[in-house]
Amino acid sequence: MSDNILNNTIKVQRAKANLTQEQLSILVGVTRTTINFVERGRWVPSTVLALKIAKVFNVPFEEVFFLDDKDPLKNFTEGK
Amino acid sequence: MANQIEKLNRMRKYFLWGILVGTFISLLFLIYPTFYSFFSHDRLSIPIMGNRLFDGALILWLITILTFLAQFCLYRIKLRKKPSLQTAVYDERIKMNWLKSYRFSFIITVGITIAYEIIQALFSAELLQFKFTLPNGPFLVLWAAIISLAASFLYYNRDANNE
Repeated sequence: MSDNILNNTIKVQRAKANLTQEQLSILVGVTRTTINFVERGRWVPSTVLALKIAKVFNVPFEEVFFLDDKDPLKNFTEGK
Repeated sequence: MANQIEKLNRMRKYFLWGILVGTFISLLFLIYPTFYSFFSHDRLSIPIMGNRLFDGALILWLITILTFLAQFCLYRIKLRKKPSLQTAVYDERIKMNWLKSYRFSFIITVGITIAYEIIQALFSAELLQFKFTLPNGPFLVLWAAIISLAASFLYYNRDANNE
């Protein structure tokens, strides 16, 4: 399975909420670098961190994090 | 708090760079006489220069270690004052990066120990005559590494009761 199947809209949500990466990092209690890594899809966050991020933006989890269409698990469940 | 997290993050980066550069330079000073004497024709001048380099390397390493310890203590004191800072500075990605670093370091340590033992064995008259001696330091390190690796993995990967 690919390592990079979790996409996110953190950058868009940050722009909407007018938050910098540093401000978001303080709100969820991680370093700014970690937010940067998650935003660019280079680090798949834990469920707790992902939920914290979604909570900051006050939107459902799926609006911030979603699986890539190329996800093999999705293809498998759809019988492709 | 924002500046504090980044400040501590930078502090950690700087003291790690400090110990890396200091240890690397002192290691170069330590191994240079060995390589120099190996490739040089003028072997008489080596011991004096070698001793000076050796002393210099040890002093440099001592300074590096003491500086690192002082900075690390300061860093820990700052972290202890605010537990939330500790959670932020040691977030999940940083913890994973430390684990990856430990793994890399473990592989390097085992690799160098094996290489060292092979080189020793190649020049060992006793071994060539199948006269085995008692295990030495590197051998024990190697055994301890393999035993602790296998044991710790089995412990952390132990199965929970299926209910």
